[in-house]
Amino acid sequence: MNKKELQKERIALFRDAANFKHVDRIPHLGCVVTWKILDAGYTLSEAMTNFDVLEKSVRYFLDKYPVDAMLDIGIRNQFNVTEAFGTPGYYYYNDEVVGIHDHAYCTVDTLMDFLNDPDRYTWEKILPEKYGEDWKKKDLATWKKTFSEYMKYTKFVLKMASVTGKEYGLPSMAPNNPMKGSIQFAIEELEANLLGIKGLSLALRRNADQLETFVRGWDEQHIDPIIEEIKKSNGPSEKYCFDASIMMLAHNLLRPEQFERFYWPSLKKLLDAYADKKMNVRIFAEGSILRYADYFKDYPKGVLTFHIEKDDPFEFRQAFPNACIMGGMTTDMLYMSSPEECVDYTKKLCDELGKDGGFIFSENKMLSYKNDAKSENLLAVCEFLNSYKM
Amino acid sequence: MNKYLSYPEGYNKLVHDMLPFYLRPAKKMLMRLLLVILRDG
Repeated sequence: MNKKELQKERIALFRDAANFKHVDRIPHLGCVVTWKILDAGYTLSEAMTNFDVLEKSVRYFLDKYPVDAMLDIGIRNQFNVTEAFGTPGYYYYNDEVVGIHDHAYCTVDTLMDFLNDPDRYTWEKILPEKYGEDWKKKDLATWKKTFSEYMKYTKFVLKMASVTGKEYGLPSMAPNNPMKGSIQFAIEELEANLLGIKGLSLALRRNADQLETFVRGWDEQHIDPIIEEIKKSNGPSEKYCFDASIMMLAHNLLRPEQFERFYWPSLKKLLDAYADKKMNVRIFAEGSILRYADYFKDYPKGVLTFHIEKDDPFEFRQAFPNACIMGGMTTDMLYMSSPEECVDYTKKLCDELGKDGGFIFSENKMLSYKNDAKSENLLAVCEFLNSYKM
Repeated sequence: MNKYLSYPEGYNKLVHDMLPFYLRPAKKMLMRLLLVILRDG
C-alpha cells in the first residue's frame, strides 16, 4: 500500500468510527505536542526556534509510534517570529516547558472597539500596551527580520504537511486554518485573550448584557459566515478525517444558565448546520462536558465526536450514546503504569466502546511534559492498536 | 518619531516598505496572520 492509499484508509477509518460503523481496528489520534521533542532527546530550548530539530522530532515520533493521525505536526509555536521581533510575548519556554501568561486585550468597555475594527484596535491599543516602550522603537529592519521569520515559519508548515502526508501517510484532521487551529467562539476568545480568565469571570457577573451584545456581534463576524459556507458545501469531505474542529474550554468557567446564554446559541446554530449536511465535528472538550449532555442529545450519530479530557469514557458513553468518543487513555496511566496495564486498559476501551464503531483511541491530554508518558507504554499501546482486530 | 505608529497611515506605509513587491497583492492575508502571531504569541 502506498502512502496515498494509507492516507485514504486512515481517513475512512476515522470517518467510519465517527459514524458508528464497524471498523477492523480502532484508529489512534496521537494527541502529542512537545512530549515528542523530549522523547527524541532534545530540550525544548533546542527545538522551539529550530525547524530542523522540530522536523527530526516529528520524524522520530512517527518512525517509532505508528499512530493514524497527529494533533500537532511540529507547527504549534511561532517562537522564531516573536523572538525576531525582539521583545518577549505571552508565551515562554525553557528546557522542559512551554507556558503562557494570562493576559487581557480589552476591558468590558472596549470589547466593541475591538470587534468593530480589530486591525486598528490591535495596532493602536494591543501591540503598544503589550510591547511598551519597545513598540515605538521597532524600525524597518526589525519588521523585515520578523517578516522573514514569518515566511520561514509558513514554509515550514507547508513542508511538514507534505512530510507527514506524503512520507508517512498521515491525513489532515479537519479543514481549518492549520496555523491557528480551530473555530473560535466568542466566549473562548474572551477567556483566552480579550478579557482573560479573571476578567471574564468578573464580567459574567457584573456586565452580562455587554457580554451578550459582544457575543452576538462576534457571531455575525465569525460564526455566521462559516454557517453560510457550510450551507453551500457538498457535505463531508473525503480529504479530511473530520469536517470541523472545535476546542471547548470556557464552558468549565460557566454556570449552566451562563452556558445557555453565552455559549449554547452560538454552538447550536453551528452544529445544526453541520448536522443538516451530515458532517462530523470533532470537539476537544477540555475539562468536563458531562453536565451539558442534555444539550447534545438530539443530534444523530455521525455528527459529534467528543475528544474528552477529564470525563470518564464509560460514564460519557452512557450520557452521550449518540456521540463518538475520542480519547480514553490518561496521561497518568501512560506514565505511572506498566506496558501490560496500559495494553489491558486499551483492550477494555476498544472492546467496550468500539465494537460497533463510535470510538477513536487517543490520549486525554496533549502530551507535553516528560512525565506525561513513558515511551515503552506508548509504544506498547500503539503496537496493540495496530494489531488488534475488532 | 517612528513613522509606522499611526493607523492606517503608518501601518500601510510599513506594509509597503516591508513586503517585497511580489507579495503585496497578498498583503491583507499575510499581514493578518503576522499580526495575530505578534498579538497572541
